[in-house]
Amino acid sequence: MVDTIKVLIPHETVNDETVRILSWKVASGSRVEKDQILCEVETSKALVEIHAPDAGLVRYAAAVGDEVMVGSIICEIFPEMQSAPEVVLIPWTAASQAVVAELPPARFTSLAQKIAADYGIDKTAFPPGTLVRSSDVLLKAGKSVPQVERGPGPSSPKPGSRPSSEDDASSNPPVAGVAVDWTELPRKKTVESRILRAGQAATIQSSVTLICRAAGLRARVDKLGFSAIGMSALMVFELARLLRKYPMFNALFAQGRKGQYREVNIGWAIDGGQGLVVPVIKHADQKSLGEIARTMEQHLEAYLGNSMTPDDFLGGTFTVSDLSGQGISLFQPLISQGQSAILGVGSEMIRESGESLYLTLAFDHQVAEGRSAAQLLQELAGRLEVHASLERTAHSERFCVLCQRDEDALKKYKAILLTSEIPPGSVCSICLAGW
Amino acid sequence: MNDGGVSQNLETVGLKAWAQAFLIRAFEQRLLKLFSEGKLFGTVHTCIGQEFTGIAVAHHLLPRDLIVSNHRCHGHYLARTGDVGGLMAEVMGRTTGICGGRGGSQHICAGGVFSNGVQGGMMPVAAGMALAQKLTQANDITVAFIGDGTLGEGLVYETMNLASLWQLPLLIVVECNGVAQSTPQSQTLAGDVAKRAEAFAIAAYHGDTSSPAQLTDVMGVAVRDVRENSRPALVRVDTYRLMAHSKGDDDRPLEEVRRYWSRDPLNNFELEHPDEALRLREHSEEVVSKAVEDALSAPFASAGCEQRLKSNAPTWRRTTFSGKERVVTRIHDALRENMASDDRAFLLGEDIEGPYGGAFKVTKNLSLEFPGRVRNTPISEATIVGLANGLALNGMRPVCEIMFGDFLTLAADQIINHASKFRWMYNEQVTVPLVIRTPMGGKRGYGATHSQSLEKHFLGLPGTRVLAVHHRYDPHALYQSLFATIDCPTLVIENKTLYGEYLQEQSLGGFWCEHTEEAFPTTRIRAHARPDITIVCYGACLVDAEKALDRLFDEHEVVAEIICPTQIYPLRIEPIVDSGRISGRMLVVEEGQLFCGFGAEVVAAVHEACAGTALVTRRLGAAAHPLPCCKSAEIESLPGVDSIMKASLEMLSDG
Repeated sequence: MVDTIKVLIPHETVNDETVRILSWKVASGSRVEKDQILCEVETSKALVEIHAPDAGLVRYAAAVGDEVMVGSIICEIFPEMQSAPEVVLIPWTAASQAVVAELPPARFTSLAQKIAADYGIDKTAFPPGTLVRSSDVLLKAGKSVPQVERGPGPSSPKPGSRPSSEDDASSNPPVAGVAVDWTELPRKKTVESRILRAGQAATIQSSVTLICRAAGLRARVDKLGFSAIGMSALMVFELARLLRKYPMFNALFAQGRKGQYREVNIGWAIDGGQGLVVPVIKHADQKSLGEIARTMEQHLEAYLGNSMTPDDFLGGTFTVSDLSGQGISLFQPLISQGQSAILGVGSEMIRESGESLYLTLAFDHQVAEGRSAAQLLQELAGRLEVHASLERTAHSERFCVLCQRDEDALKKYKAILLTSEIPPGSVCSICLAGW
Repeated sequence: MNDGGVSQNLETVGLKAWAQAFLIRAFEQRLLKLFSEGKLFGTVHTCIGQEFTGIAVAHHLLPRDLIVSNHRCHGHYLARTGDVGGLMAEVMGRTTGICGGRGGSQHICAGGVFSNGVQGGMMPVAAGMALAQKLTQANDITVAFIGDGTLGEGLVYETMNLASLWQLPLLIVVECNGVAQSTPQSQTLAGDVAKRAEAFAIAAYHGDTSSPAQLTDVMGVAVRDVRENSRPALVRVDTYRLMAHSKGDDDRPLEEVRRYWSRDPLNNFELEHPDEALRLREHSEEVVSKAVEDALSAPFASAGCEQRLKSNAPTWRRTTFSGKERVVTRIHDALRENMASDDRAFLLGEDIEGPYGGAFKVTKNLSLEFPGRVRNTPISEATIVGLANGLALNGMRPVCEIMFGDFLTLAADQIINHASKFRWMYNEQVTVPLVIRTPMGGKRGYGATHSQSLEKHFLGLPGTRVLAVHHRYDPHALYQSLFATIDCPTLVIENKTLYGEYLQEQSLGGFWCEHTEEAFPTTRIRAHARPDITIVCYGACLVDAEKALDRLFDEHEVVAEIICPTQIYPLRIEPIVDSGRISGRMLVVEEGQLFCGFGAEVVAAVHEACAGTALVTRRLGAAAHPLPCCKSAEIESLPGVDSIMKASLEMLSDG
């Protein structure tokens, strides 16, 4: 059994005898993370924020407007049910010591009493006013605690969602005979796992890979000033437009039907060492290359500055994962929940022909098939090669502000440049008309 | 008895009376016209042909006298107040109406005139108002208007019985127009009207609207009798309803109706004094037309705003008691203190006077300490509550006891159609600070009609409150809060088995008791551990829930948490939701029937508040059949420690 964590108004941060509760930031009974802000209190000098000392479910002990003594309890936190229960030590302050004097001795269940007697555990070792169950006694005795079989409760998934197996102890049993050290995974990882598990469970994954000769592409990217985000901006730009032509890769399969997303929001996987995140570039098909690059730079800045918000990750309909910068050529990207495809980008340096890009499109075979996947990749490769070739040839002054192609490149497609007011500059007839 | 040819003398009746009569008729006729133009809602019950009843009575009334009427109330109201504008606006549903457009034609309240649309329902209310008047010793009286059709309702006789027993200054005016809606008197009335009054030792008088002068004299005599002797009287007024019961439903033969037109005093006045009649008619039309114009330009009434409970975070404090006393003693003491500190307090019920002191001894010795204010009533539950309604409307603080909760059904109309509606329907002009106490519950072998928990049928009436006493929050404090703040009809559910329970501070090792800081708090029994299951209950179910809590921990290592509100309607859902979010499992226990009961409401409200959180809920209640008299079988039919534990363990092991 785990005792609750009592959250006190700390002495160190306030100099007053009492403070006033200004506002609660979370609902009583809801889950909080460690260090999450619980409430604001008003002292004589300033507003002080009180943060959760640990994760769990919070329950108020004071209301907005209450004047509370410094050192008194403003709320309690009930830790989550953990597979290995531990006893949490509560710091005894002067106030709580006074309360302890009034409390009755710890109460034991019949079984706990018997076990305590069996193992010779001193009953006064348990704090007064608490409940002691057999698991608590076993813990104190240093014995292992049997798993309690409990039915649906707070650890169960939300009603209506797919039942997940993450809490089921019987799936994926460890190898017999080998000692295992269990650790809790950080919440971010469990959330990520849930998204991937959902994606995997709902799709029939297949993939096609195409090797694209892209010598000069990096230089082109540098020339455009996008080196910080590599070629991903270019990928996102071209993909967004190609997804309009191949909409089955911007959809999902559910309950026997294909759901076509009306927006093209491309998620871009970043892992700079601070964890894997997938911020979303919304309406990528309507943004210019410059706008896409700027958005991605902002995301990267936020990632590095640890200031990303939940909004950054909402609404993705397709994902791009670029590991080319890490020296990886081929890998199997995983389709996310609610999507039907993902593009993985790897690269390889070959001495004679320069850099090659390995483009792997993993897709859900329930809404698409290999042929269209191949076609998309071929067109993508074609466009990338055009961009790469732009670096190798002389450019003319004018170029399309949306796709950066200059007149020479456009000639190949029998397209022309037109002067435009919105956006200001020139726009090619291809971008105007679309593919 | 008059024949049709009596001359309508200007001097004997008085011009004022004729003016009133013409005004009332013009008003009613205009309503019929407006109705046919589609400008009125619902229907109108006109008093055309009966105008002089109200006029004759109003002539003799003093300022503090009160009138209680029925669906056909316009004539009574206009005769008493002359307020054409206010009544027209009210009938037309405007905010400028006497009840803000909320009451409409049948439910009016202004100028000391009250009406409601349930036949006979206002009789005991009128008696209650008369009782309040009697207690002030100021010689004011209350007049109750009913029809001969109303004499079919039992409440009329209950009221006459009580009014006569207690010698209330109540004048009952029976407008005998020979028909009840479409049913002739020959089908509704056995025996004689006057003899009904005589059976209750009530003086009976007689008049006829076709002789207005004589009618006025008779009313004078009757009113004086009631006022000076402080006792009830009944006046039978023979009259005729010239138009339909309500617009458009008249199947009476034409010759019959025509015959009565010829006896109509206004009609004859017109024949004898045509110029005067024309002048009065034109003046009346003018007044009525102006009222219609004003009304048409005023806005319609809007839907009222619902009363919403403040939904802020509850704060909890430990429950403490001093001394060791039983629940019944605490209730008794609270009633006693209320009687001592508030002169307006008045207790009524069956067998409540000393030395008997009530079926469960709650009112022991109170009648001896406060003589005249603690009264035994006849066995008339509807009249007990109805009388209390009248007392509450007229400035008193009645506390009535219904001996067994099962009998609350007899007073249902007074609770549902009267007490709960007055304040809102009369546009907040009145409050009804009425308390009804009653014990519900079984497990004593009293049988199917003396053991029920019927409170669910009285939950959810807007404008009312329902409290449930339990032994972990001092009933004395609960009643004290109630008496200090009462502003609406409140039903307090006590429990037979609970009366004998002791209040104790701590008898649950490792668990303690807290309550929210409000007038009618929620009690929580919890420990310093995360609960595995939340048990929600009220009243006597707390006793078994506590025992289950104890055994669940001791025998099964399950930590439960009990949430037990004292106010079950309107229900504060936050403490329940708060606990449910943490435990994830909720069992709601009640002694009544499950369908559409307290548990159903809790589960619905909790799921709405917790959308997205995993929460498993279940309800426990009485078996779906009447309770057997055999005690062991009865106990099996009701939730108890074993069934609570079984349900909890089932919820913990599967889903």
